[in-house]
Amino acid sequence: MSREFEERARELTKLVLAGPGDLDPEIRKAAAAGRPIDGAAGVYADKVRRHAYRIIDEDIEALHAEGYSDPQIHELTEAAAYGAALVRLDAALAALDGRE
Amino acid sequence: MRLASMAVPGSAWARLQLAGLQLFAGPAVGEAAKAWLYRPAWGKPFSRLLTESLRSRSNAWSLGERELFAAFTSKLNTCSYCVGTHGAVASSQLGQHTLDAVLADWRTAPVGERVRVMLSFLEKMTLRPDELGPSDAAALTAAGIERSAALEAIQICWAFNIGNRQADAYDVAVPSPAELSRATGFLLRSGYRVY
Repeated sequence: MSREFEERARELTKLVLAGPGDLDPEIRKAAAAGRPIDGAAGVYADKVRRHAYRIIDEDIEALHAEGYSDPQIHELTEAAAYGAALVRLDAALAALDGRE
Repeated sequence: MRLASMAVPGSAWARLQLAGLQLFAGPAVGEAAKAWLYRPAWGKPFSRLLTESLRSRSNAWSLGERELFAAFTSKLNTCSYCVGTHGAVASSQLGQHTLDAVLADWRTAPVGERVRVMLSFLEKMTLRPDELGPSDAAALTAAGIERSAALEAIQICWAFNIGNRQADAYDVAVPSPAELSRATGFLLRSGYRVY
């Protein structure tokens, strides 16, 4: 990984969390950071971050029932996934740089 | 796919790209591509970062070792799709026994110390990132892993911590052995040019 990769990874994360989309960027940022989100979206984002393999069809149905569209669910998923990955990237780079 | 609208890409160009991938690479690659083609402005740069991490021309790690890191990260995240597809490529390079041993217990697997120490770092990065610290970096250095090599493995781990979540959330179908073999051949022939 080069400095260029890190810049591209952070730029892409920023696009996913704050770029144009169908889901409020504040919800996307909350999903990425693990901050509380009301309703099914909070449950779903937590699952994506912590154990995405446990997601089931009913999770998506619950989001649909609360009025979330497929593009919004996609953005919620991506935001939570990029947030989880960013935590790990930051921790790895801090370790290499000698930071606790 | 769990999102019904993800099954068929929205634009004619994306549908054409998907058709090409399914024709040449088969469903193992085509199904994952649906997630990336759903929103190309996000999916395309991600796909490039992921594939670049695996086909780097540097000598830091072999192709088999890179795919081993991908499959290992995917196993830690319990992502069956990614373990299958990237484990198949790793197995084609390192052998099934080595892959199976690493996925069962990297501590006792028949790999060199350099790979073993890198796996230890990637395990902590994936499962317990809060515990990573300077002593983990020192262990890499002691094993002869240069910073640039560590960064390349970290790039793979970052990409798969996203890709695993995408595959499981969207319920990308786990390929059959025949589909895995076809996908492995395509990835090796094409140099991972899936997008």
